Amino acid sequence: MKKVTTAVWTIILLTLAASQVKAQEPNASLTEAYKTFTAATTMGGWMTANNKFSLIATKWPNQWTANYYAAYSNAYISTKETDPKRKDQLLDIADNYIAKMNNLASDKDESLVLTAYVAYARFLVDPRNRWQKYLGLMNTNLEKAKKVNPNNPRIYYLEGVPEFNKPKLYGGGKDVAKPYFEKAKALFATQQSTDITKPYWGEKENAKYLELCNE
Amino acid sequence: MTPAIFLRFWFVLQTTLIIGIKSASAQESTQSSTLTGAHAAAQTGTHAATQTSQYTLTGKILTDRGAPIPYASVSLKNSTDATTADSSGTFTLITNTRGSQTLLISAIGFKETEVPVTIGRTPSPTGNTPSSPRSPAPPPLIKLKPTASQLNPVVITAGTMEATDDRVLTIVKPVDVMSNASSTGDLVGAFQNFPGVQRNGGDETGLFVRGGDASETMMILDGTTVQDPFFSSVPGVGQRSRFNSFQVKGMSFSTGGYSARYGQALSSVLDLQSTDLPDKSTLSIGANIAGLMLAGGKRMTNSALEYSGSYSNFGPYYDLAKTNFHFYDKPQATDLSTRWIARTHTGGLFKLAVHYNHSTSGTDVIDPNDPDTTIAFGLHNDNLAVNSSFKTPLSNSLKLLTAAGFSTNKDDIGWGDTIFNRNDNRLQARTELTWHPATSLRITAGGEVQHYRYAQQFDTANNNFTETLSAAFVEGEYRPNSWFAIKPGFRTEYSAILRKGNAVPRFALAIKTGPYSQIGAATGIFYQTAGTQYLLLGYHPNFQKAVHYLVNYEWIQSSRSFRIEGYYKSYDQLVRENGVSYTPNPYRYDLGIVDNTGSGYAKGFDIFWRDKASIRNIDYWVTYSYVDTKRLYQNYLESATPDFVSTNNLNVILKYYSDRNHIFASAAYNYASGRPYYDPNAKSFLSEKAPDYQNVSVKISYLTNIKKMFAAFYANVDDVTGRRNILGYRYSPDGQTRSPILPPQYMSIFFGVYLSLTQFKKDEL
Repeated sequence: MKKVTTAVWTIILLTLAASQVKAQEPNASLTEAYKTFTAATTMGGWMTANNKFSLIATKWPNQWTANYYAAYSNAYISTKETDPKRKDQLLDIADNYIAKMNNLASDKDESLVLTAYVAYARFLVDPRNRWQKYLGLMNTNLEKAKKVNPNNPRIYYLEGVPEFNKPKLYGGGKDVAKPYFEKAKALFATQQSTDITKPYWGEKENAKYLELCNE
Repeated sequence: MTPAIFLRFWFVLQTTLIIGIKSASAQESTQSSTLTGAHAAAQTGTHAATQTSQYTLTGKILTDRGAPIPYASVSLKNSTDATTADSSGTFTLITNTRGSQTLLISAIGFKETEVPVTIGRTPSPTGNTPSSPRSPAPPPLIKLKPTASQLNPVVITAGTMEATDDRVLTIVKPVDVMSNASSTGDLVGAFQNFPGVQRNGGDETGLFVRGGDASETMMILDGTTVQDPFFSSVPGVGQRSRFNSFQVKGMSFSTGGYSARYGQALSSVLDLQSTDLPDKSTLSIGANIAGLMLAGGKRMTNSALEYSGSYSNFGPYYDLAKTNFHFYDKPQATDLSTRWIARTHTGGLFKLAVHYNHSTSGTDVIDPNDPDTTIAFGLHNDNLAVNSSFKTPLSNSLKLLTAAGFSTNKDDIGWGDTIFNRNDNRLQARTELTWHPATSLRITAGGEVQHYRYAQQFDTANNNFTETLSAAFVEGEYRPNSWFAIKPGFRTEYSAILRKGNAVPRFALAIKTGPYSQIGAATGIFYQTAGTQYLLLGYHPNFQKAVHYLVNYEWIQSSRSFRIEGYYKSYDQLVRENGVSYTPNPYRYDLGIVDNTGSGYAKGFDIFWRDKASIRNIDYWVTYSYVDTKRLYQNYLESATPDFVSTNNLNVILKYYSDRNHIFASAAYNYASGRPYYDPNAKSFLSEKAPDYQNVSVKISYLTNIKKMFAAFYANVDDVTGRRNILGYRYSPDGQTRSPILPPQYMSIFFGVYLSLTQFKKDEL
């Protein structure tokens, strides 16, 4: 009986361990890819990480995080790209991943924040002609995200950026943007930045903006 | 200057991203890795198997034209082995997989491609052979096909310039049309800066396109014909359009060869699309030297109600700037409009707009019957226009558009002591079905019915006519690939008043010649019924006819664009008045024997150049149009260049924005060579020409905040140099004396302020 009990426990433990390994597998790959991504300083570096994110999303299409980072990296790179057409192509890919991500969980605050970020990146491709549609879309998603989780620091970071870039006479500028970045900073401080399943991007950029506001 | 333009100013400057802090240097790093990262480090750069049976695959990713594609993703299908190509397209993939495999390659803007490979044994059948351990080979070349979006797919543009926000790459955007100094805030007036359009010195009303007169241009709003696009005409005084530029999101201006969806215009169609649902509720007010306005909108979940009202009195404006006409009753107008926009749960969009305008004026104008004297022209006008449209998808590949409109216009005119009344009404409906079974094919079929009535009383003469015009059309657009497109069309019309019909073909094509360039061509036959002056007097001549041929070349990048278009247009069956002597009087009653024996031609070319990048903070464009045209029509004595045509037209538009000083400035220079005028003493008909027309205008806006409200102060100065333009001459009946035809004003100043009450309300933290 003891042997049987031991065997059952062994099977249970092995099964649990196996499932744990399976669950960790995409996260380990994502963590590695994210390290590559954040360490990159050139288009080649970002694209290398971006390709990794895409492969991870292809391999684990039902993982919310896999689609999330594939969308995020494409959107981020679009802001580094200089060719407007290529920017839009990157954002088309980001939109595809966002759609897949939303099929898995659309009501997460991070889903909404990322959707807002992609909208802002769309606006940046052609600000003069896109402000009305895409800043509106961005704000709508940030508002929704606030209702889900008002303590998400990226909401306030993303709200601050357009205010920072908006000329003073239109109601923008450093003074207007600063409270947003300060609020984001305080919230960033309460959150860890090691778990890939809980996005933590934006802290360094927020700090830099705050620095610019204090200049 | 519209509020939308003010709100867009600052975004013009935001062409760079500040959100990312890391800088992207030109230096590129090449990295080779695998998804798992297990084997890559030791093997990069080798072409041989290691003792642990690792293999290195190398290759180069190219476009189908041989240019390297940077940063492509290269992986082995059903494996975690992957790498990224470098900036020159070269990749190195290390794997310990062997045998027949599939290489999966993807790159942004290119179709994902699979390449069969055999690792470790013999070369693959594709020739894109990875190196084997014993036979290193030069890197194979792998070519990828671009996606449609990579190529900037070809767009049929011959004869048409679009100002739309829906496409990224267009020559102009709606905001560009209105934000230049010489537009004087008039939507249609702004099109005089476009290639192919005559510069109007201020004495004419309407758009004169490529040798055509104003009646040859039709204006469409959301699919319905605009019956009275301009304020009622006053002899010798050009009128502005009635369109509200706040509510226009897209404009498609065709100077020839236009779509089979439309007809009844020998030269041109201006197709306007109104704005969709606004993002949020707004409220704004404005005041200027000629009046006050209030506009706003209430946004609901799936609908919005917009409203606007204005009162204008041009007394102060005309008192400040001396006019070349005496206004014994200064123009005044009251304008009210409202729009309801609603989105259905199936994705359809419904729009209903109601616009009412009442205006009065009293002007001493040159008596067309006796140019030596003036006559009092008192005008009371009431105009009501209602139009609606509904666009909805019926299925994934089928869309429906329905549109309907009603308008009525009434002019009570005091012509000296004579009663002169005009009244017109139009009721119309249009339905279109668009079938879009694949991205390469779109077919639109539909029909329209226009029922309209004109009535006129001049002294004791009462005249009227009623017309019902029916039309059906079908038009296809086939784009078998990203570099070639054709658009054949067919249209048939029937006129109840003429009891005649017509059937015409239309055709356009475009061929991509490079990443940013294309050539295009268009042709078609266009019919138009005779002008109202003939129908009112009971004449029913046949349709007038024009045939268009045009070719163009277009090169568009995001910051610079160039376009040249050549055309030939033949006119046939133009209406003629036989057996009468010529008089330039548009109100003549003796029309002689009216038939369709007139004819003519127009040929020429138009050039457009725009540059937003060469000079910091400066956006400029230059248009030049050359037209050679002659026609024998109406009461002309012989074939001649009409008196509304300038052979050469040049427009230079310049815009500047200073963020530091919060100033937006725009300047325009317009040149038009002298127009022909009728001199009864000249040796030949319409052979004399007026002096060349030149005008410099400047618009300056200062943008600021007043108690958290966005405010814009603006001033527009026309004819800055004070040039005394003469647009032609009128002769007395005996030909002994003449008087110059002058613009309504020389130098003029218009100024005002705009306040947005809601635009910058900030969210609470």
